[in-house]
Amino acid sequence: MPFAEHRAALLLLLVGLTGAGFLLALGVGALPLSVATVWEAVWRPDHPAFPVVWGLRGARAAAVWCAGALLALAGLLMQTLLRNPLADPYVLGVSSGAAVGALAAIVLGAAGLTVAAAAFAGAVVVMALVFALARGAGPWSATRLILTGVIVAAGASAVVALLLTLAPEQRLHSMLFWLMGDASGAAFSPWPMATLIVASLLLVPWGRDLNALAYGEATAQSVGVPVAQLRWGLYLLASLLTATAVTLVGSVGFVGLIVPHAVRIMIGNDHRWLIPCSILAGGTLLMVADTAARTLWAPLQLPVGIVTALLGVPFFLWLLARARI
Amino acid sequence: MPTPPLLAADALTLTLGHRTLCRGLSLSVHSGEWWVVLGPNGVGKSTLLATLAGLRRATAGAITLAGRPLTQWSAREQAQRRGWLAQSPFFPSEATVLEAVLVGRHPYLSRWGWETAADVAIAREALAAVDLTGFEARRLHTLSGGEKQRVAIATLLAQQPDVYLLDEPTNHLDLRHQRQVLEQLAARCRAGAAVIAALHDLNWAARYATHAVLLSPDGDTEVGEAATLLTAERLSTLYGLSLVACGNPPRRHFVPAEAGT
Repeated sequence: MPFAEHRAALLLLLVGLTGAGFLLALGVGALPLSVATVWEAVWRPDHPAFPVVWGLRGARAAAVWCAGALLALAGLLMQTLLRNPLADPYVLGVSSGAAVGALAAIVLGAAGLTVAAAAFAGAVVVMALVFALARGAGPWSATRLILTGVIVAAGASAVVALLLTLAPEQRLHSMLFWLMGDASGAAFSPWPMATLIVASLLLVPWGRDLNALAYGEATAQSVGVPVAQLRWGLYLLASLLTATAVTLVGSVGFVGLIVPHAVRIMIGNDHRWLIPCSILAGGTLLMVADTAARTLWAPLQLPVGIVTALLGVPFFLWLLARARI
Repeated sequence: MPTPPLLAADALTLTLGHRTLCRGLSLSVHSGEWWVVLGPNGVGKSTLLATLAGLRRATAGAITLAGRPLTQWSAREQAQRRGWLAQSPFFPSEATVLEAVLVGRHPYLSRWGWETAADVAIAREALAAVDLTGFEARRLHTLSGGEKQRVAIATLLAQQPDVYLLDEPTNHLDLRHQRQVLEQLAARCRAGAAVIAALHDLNWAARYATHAVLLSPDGDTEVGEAATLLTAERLSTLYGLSLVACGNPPRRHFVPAEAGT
């Protein structure tokens, strides 16, 4: 099989990079720690660096990793579902939809799981809009898809601005993070990780079906893929993954665009490999980007969404400029 | 008890919007038969093929696959018995040729199963059958239009169905590869399968078809043996173009009666 060695090698490399990225995130900051210190502190609750390593940096790194993994997986599923490599939770406005849902719930005084549910509802509504509008006759056209995303995102940011205007001033700062994506408030919670694990496990027996779906719905159906069921499942799953990521770090863009595409260039289009590789690469990319965002201009902490946008915008334009889209 | 036809349609009516594409079409396709679907552009050849493949619903009428109503087969069972080639297949850019052809093995693998060495061997044979040996690791976006079309045909060959439904299989192919693909399908017919293909090349149709379906723009259909239906007179009426037949079967060919200006 071509790429068989590449695939296993990439997966191993990504596991290694995830570990290295995590050690980096734990060690770098206002109080720099050596790798050796981090390694010691990780295992010993009585170590003086333990609170910094686990309490501050560890929780944030884990939350950010999880958000990156969720976004990369959501992007991959959207690209396969829409058969368009430009599909991404942020580009399509699904992240904005989730942010509007969450913000509206916060303004109304909700907290916790209600906010998460509202974010999911917002993501589902935008996905439904994209589905309804971007599909002209025939396959998903890149132009319609992007236009739909741009318009929906513009509408969503207007609603976000409206909610921010209406919101009481003391809440304003904490609400800003929904706009551009910021991990400074990210705290570790088991739910996003559980969502990621359950979603990945659910997808395991559907890898070959996803491979077939990439060739179009009719062709997939002709080789026995239950297309209608799969389409609904992917639609809901991609919305759930996006909403979960947004509740963690706000609307961070482009991870779902860059990661699956880069992985595909390296190992081809087999989803049984694309899924684990995208999860690991997405998590690591966002974790490293966040480490950079909080240390490069320290003590100033940049929102991580700025870093991913600086990486993602040129990447998006490069993809767009290539003739094959 | 005689063996049931591999694929049969009974009193099939197809409509698209307000337009009736065909009315009360019946046909029985048996092992070894090669059916050609002919008709001018937009007459409903693709719709008929997709309906026969079970990919869209007929307005009225019934379709049976190996004697059982199509609706009683699961999607996977259908896929083991009939395969379908899209008129303009879609190709994900970064996939490899081998990955594409292995999609054809999907109906034979369990939900948790991975392709075995046997599946890969079948895929390689299918690639060899369309003259793409050595292309396994190539990415689809680096292929020419004709090469992509052959990848799609190799996927269908790897699926090894009993009934091959093909929507203009010779699209984008050069003359040699047109013949090679049609010969491969003929070989499958001789081995017990059946072919139903929409074609625009009347000369290939005359060479390979044993049976024909003629679809007219007014919704009338003619179904029968190729020898009866593929005549200059009938085809002239069908296409609204005066044709003359030259030569004798199997080298019968049709050319426009008057040269263009």
